[in-house]
Amino acid sequence: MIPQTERYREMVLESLRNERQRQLAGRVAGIFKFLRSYALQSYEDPAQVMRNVADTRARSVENMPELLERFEERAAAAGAKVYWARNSQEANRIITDIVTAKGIKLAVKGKSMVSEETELNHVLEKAGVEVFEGDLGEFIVQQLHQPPFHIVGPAINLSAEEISDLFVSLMGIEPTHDPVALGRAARVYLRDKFASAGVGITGVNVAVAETGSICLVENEGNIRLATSKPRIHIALMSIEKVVADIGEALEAIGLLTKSCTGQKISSYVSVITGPRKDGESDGPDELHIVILDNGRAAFYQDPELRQALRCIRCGACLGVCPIYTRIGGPTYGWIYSGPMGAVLNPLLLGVNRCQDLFEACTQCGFCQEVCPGGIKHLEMFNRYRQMVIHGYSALNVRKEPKKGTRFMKLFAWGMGAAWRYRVGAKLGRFFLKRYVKDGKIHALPILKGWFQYRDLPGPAPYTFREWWASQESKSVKHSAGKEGSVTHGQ
Amino acid sequence: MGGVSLFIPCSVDLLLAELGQATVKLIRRAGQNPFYRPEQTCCGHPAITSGHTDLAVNLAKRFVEIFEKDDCIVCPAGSCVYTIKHLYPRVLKDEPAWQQRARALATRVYELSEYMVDVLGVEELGAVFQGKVAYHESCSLLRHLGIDQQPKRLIAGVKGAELVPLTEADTCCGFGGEFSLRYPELSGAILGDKVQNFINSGADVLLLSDPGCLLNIAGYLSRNHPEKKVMHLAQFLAANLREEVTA
Repeated sequence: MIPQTERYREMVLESLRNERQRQLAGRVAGIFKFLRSYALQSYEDPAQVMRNVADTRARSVENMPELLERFEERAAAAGAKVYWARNSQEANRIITDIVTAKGIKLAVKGKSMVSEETELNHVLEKAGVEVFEGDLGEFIVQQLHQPPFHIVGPAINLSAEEISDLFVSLMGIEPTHDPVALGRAARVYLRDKFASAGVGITGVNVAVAETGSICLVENEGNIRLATSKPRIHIALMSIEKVVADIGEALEAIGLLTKSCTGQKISSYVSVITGPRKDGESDGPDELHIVILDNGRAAFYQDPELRQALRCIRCGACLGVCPIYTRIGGPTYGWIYSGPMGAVLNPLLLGVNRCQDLFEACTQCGFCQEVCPGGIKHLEMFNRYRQMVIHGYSALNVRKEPKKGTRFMKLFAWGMGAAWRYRVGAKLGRFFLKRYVKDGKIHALPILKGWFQYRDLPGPAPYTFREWWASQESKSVKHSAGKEGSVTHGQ
Repeated sequence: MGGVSLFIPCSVDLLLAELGQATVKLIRRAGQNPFYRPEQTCCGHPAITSGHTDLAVNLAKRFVEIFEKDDCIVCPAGSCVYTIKHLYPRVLKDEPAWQQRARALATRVYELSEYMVDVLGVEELGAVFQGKVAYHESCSLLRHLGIDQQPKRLIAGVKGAELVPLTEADTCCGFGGEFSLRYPELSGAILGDKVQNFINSGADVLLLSDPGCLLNIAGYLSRNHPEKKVMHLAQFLAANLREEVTA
């Protein structure tokens, strides 16, 4: 999908107007949030597991270069073919070359965010390869040419009615609003594609350096099928997916599924080490693993920014974000949405064009509380804000005038000395008092955004410091004085 | 030195003097002696969070200089305490000596309810209120400072008050400082839901512990539900103290 992060503001207004979608986003988030906390209780000490996985993520990212080399070596030893792609174009070309060299015309896919990042489907289709998403939700949005609403539940915003309309025209079924019947129709339709596809293409949830294995997490069995039925399996992974050993991988997967869908474990976890070996009954003849950088190495040098690579794409941050739960995924303008999108997109697309994503944040910190990767979202957002204010050549960030900078300079100067503060307070309170009506301020020529929804209290007749000074001088004069509403017996 | 040094944030000083007075009243009721350093201004929170960290360096140093001689600093605003404890070390990261001083100071700065319950061990101040109250978990306390039980203990210490459940009590009220000005529609949508949950709770009054949330929610109630009441916990406690207590 073509990034349109610049349209954030207008898209926010559109989504807020869409009452049904707004309610749904909130309700879905509530369910995920509840399921997550319930599933976490299955750990003896959930906080300890969160810390372990966050530590593992931090360590894996620190050691990523060595881990990737070891992974390449072990995966190759297990019979996989490993490719390195610097960017989307290279990754897409590698994959298209493999597919077209074999004369393959039909591909099935497991849901993969990174393949959306590279727009692989589009490129394959242009090369004459028909592509079917195997995940039900992803299949639906693919057929509707819509962006995913949620990274884990792509079509969660669509009603059974809308899906029925789609299936009627696509598969010629009888109209039905029964979700089970719709699921069955998709299953029949897709089963045929799986049977005749020449290649299965998936992402990777975790890559294990120790064994050269790739791990895949899913609920519908479409990935299991895509990685075993077609003769060729191509796995596309971004560089940050690698961990040291299978223990770390399994611990991360356990927390991933709980954070993601609130399941103790997903219905399927596939650990794939090389293609089918002699004497084995399952698996493809060829396994190709494409490792994609796509701009990640560029910010890897920065020890603070590289924490973005700890993200395991669970989507827990989406479900708790007060912004995401009001506007849903597509409003963010690219495939990664919610707080994780606001962390990743500026680094992958450019900070300047993603400003609204990290500015539109109440700084409540719920995202970082639930993040299995231990990402400090607020630190990242603050860093991006600084980059825009000052420019940052290492990432080609343009310095841009920020609304409010001049006010902020005046503010910081004014707060820098008590006498300036007192003078400013006098002037400010004098100004405010002119607008007081029935003890309230309903509008001002400034702060329009505030007054769109709220009033301000009229300033009290005195500031706290004035009150303090007066009661202090009184208590000096009459040392046992009783003043104001304060009872003070010292 | 003795006594409790008051940090009364600029928003409280300028707009909510009665919250500052309530803070004083409670600290005195707990038998402590508060004092106020008039050199204090603003902690720099708005400058830091908007990305103007460079502008906040002087404010952070200024704050450290003013307060570092005090043994115990108490503030009725979670977000300002968060700024001092967690944002100053970042603001001062290029000046290790100052960073060290800020860190040392941070260990002696307390949010009001934290000070009452954890430092003084006081949960009952002698307040009486016949009615239902709901508590909004301000993000600055709950998530940035890890203060969750202390305000509820103080509420439990109010004779007659019944704490009723509040749906989504732990989600943001939509304030976010600059956010409320730059994205008013989003902020308003989040705020509207928060207020609806409060109304649905059936509580007579909504309590919270941050002046940011207070201005936000009170401003919306004033516009849309003037009969509904929101108060800072300190104001609520101070307003309902029985004047005479026998120790």
